[in-house]
Amino acid sequence: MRIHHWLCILFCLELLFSCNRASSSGKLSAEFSYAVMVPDIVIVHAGMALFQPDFEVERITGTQPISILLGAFVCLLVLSAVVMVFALRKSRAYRELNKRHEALLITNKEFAAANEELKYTNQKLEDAHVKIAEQTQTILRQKDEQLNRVLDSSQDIIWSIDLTGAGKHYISRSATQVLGDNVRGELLIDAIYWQHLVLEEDWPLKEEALRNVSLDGYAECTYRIRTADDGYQWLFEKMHVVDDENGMPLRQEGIIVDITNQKKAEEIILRYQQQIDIIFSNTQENIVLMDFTGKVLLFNKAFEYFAEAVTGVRPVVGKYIWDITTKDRREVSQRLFQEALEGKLIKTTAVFYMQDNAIYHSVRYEPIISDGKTTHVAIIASDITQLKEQENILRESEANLKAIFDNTRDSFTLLSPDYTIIAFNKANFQNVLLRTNKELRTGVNLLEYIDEDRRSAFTYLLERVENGEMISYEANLQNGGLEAAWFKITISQVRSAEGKLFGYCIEAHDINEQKEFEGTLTAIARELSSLIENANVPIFGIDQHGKINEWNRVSAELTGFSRTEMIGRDWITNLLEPEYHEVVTAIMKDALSGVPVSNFELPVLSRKKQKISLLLSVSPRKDAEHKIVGATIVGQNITELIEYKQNLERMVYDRTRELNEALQKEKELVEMKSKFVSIASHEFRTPLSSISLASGFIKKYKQKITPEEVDKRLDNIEKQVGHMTHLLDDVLLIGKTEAGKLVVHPSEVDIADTFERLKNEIEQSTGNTHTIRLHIDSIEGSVNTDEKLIRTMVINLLTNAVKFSPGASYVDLFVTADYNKLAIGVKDYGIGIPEQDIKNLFEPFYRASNAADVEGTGLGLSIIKKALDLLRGYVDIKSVIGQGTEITIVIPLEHA
Amino acid sequence: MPKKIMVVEDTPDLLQHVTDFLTMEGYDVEPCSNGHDAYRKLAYSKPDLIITDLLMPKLDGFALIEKIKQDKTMQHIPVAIFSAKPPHENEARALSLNVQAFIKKPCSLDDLHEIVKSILDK
Repeated sequence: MRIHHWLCILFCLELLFSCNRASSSGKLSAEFSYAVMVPDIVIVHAGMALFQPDFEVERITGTQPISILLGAFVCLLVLSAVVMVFALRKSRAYRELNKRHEALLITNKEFAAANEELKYTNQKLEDAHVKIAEQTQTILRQKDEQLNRVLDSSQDIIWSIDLTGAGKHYISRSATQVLGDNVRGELLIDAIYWQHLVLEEDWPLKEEALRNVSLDGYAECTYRIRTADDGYQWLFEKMHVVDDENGMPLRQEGIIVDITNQKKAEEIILRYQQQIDIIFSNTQENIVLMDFTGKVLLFNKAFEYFAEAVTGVRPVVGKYIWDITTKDRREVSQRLFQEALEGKLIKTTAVFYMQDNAIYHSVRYEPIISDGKTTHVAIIASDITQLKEQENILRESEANLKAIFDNTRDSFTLLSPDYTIIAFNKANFQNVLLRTNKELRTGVNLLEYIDEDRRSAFTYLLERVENGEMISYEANLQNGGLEAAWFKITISQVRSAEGKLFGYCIEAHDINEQKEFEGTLTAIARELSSLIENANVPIFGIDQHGKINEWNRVSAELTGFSRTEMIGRDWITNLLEPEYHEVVTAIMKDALSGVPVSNFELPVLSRKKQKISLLLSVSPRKDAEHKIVGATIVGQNITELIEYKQNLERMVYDRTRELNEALQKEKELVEMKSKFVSIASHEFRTPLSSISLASGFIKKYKQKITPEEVDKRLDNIEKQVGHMTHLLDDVLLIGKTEAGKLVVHPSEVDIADTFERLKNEIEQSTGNTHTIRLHIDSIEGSVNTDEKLIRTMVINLLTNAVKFSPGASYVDLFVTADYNKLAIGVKDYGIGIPEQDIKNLFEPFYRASNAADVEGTGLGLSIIKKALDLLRGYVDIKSVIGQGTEITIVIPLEHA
Repeated sequence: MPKKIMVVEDTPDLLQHVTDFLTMEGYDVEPCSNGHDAYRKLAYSKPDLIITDLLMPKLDGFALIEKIKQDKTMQHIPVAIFSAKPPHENEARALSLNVQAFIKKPCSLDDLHEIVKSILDK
């Protein structure tokens, strides 16, 4: 009995001790305790009883009284003891136990000795039990701690809302992380469903779940809640209602799982899926998926179009792939499929013909292997027709290039940037270039073929090329050790289309023929040049712009401008006078357009500004392509010729002029003579008429007329004869001067004597009607002149003066002489000469209009003029009508 | 009634000789020393014949003849030229002026008379 009580107390203590733990633990402890022994009374911790409503106390304890322990540990001990005593006495179980104990005691007596032993054993068992209990407690504690850690460390939220109105809500600590500390606190107090956190659009989901759970007792929903950073979290919530045995709801419980990551992953997967779908349906590649039998499972749009267009068969899921392709590809398709099924990845090119056009497809059969077995086969095909065409063109072009490359006479060697030989053609003189007998090979560094002593020079060349230079030079190389040959060697960069340095190309071109030709040409040119240089005529050349580019020796000699001075200068502006610029520019334009111009005369200016007349011919100069590049001008110096011609012309002109003058003079003379003769004859006819009529009258009427009458007529005849004689003398005198027969005979003439005699002579001959007043004003007593001519002139002058001053009693004669000249003036006071007549007075037989009544031949002044001409003198006439006339003659005096 | 003849001559001796001769032959002679003189006298005295020299001062023979031929009162009067100038030099002009005769100097009295008579007898 004591043992039982003690044990019960122990059990109570054990229960008390475990009341703070989870209910399951309490249950476990209780069950464990019952298994060891049956207590007389059960004291159950109130908290445990509350939280473990399914703790089947009765099931365990049977009819034993139950005492529920409340209060503090010490009070509980005391209370437990009181209740225990009370319960032990009153409970039925206690009584039964007592009966069994009494029986046992009876047995004990019977087995007294055994009891003692058992006692000892019991003691040992007790010790062991204590130990076990201690160990169990430790284990339980550890387990509980683990469970708590699990619960607290779980991301999931576990909640329970009391529906009894007791307000006993629960929510796991993890809610703090998801919903926030406040929410957890609010939940524990008010049991709200954190509506304010749920996204507005998702609330209906949660609302519906809450409705469902109240109707069905179970619901689940997925919704989002807002997070602190304005994002959202996906939550999955499961809830159910716990009813009591009467079906009355006790509480609502739930678990919330954060499924944000899962949701996001789903979203990503969905997006990928969509994108893959887009790619799949829009790709140009034909994609078909088949199962292992060859039946089509899936195909994209590209394949659908292709199949319809090329094979005419509309692809359908479930058909064999070889039934969709063209007839000729069927077998191939089947074979390739089989091979793919065996796990091979097959790549091939298929050709389809559509309206005579070949369509090339690159086709892949890809086995899809799962667990080491081919479950599906995918065909992926792409159209490579264009690629194929380009490839064909490229191949053709490459073949052409190769043909050219191999057949050209030039040598080409292609090097990589590190001078490795990439390619070379069949031209046979690479060895010559490299001065080696080794056979060229691709992949070998070119430098290996070059003598060491030339290697650095060659490398230097290549480096220059690498820096962007293109090197080109002519070299005279030994050809196979036989003879020297000329090559033009060019080294250039080779770049790819993207501009990347691909390598170098060494090109050698045999220029032997060219060199020989050049040599011949040079020789010809030299000869020609020498010919031009040494030609005895000026030759020069100009370029298209008129600038001198050739200037031979004679050109230089002739103009005084050296070759160096003239090269590059414009010949028109430098050699010609401005007046010729325009016309010569036009000529040169013609010449430079291909029209040669011959023999035009042009004066060229020399350095000393002398005019050199050149007869020039311009011919266009052409280059090898017959393009006009300038003009050659060949000249001929005709300066002397021109001068000679000009002299000749001048001479001819002078002669002609002289002749013309002589002719004119002769003509005038003839005319004058003819006129003179005509006038003279007329002048003779008049006195002859008088004579004829007078003599005829006497003859006819001698009987009828008086002797005085006869005498009168005879006198008249005499007078006419005298007049005719005088006339004849004058005419003869004039004739003499005209014929040049009158010559000046100068002699010493005494002025006073000569003029005194003349004065008396004339006074007498004119019948002393007038006194001649002689005025001599002379330093010289005599002058050297032709006396006869002086006399003739003075007689004529004085006679005229007397004749034309009929009313006057004198005329004046002035004689003035100095060293240089003799001036003789005769002045009358007579009728004067009309002005209009003065200019004609010296014409033979001309008589002034007022002189008709005065006797005269009209030859006097004419004779004076002739005489003055001979003496190189001149005459001056001053006259006023009605007042008189003064005529002065001036004769220059010549001294030996 | 004797025929009236006007003689125009600038050489006084010659004029005298011709006047004397024609007067002796019974003609009424009007001597004039130049063309101007003659034209003045023609205004009141109309001769039956005009004998004129050509080269004369003041108004020469041709000018006189032109004046006569332009004057209706005297253009009918026959004119004879008495000149030393060779006739061929003046013929065209003389003909154009409708001159009756050309008496070349020098000439004999008979020749002169013959011409005068022939004109006046027409």
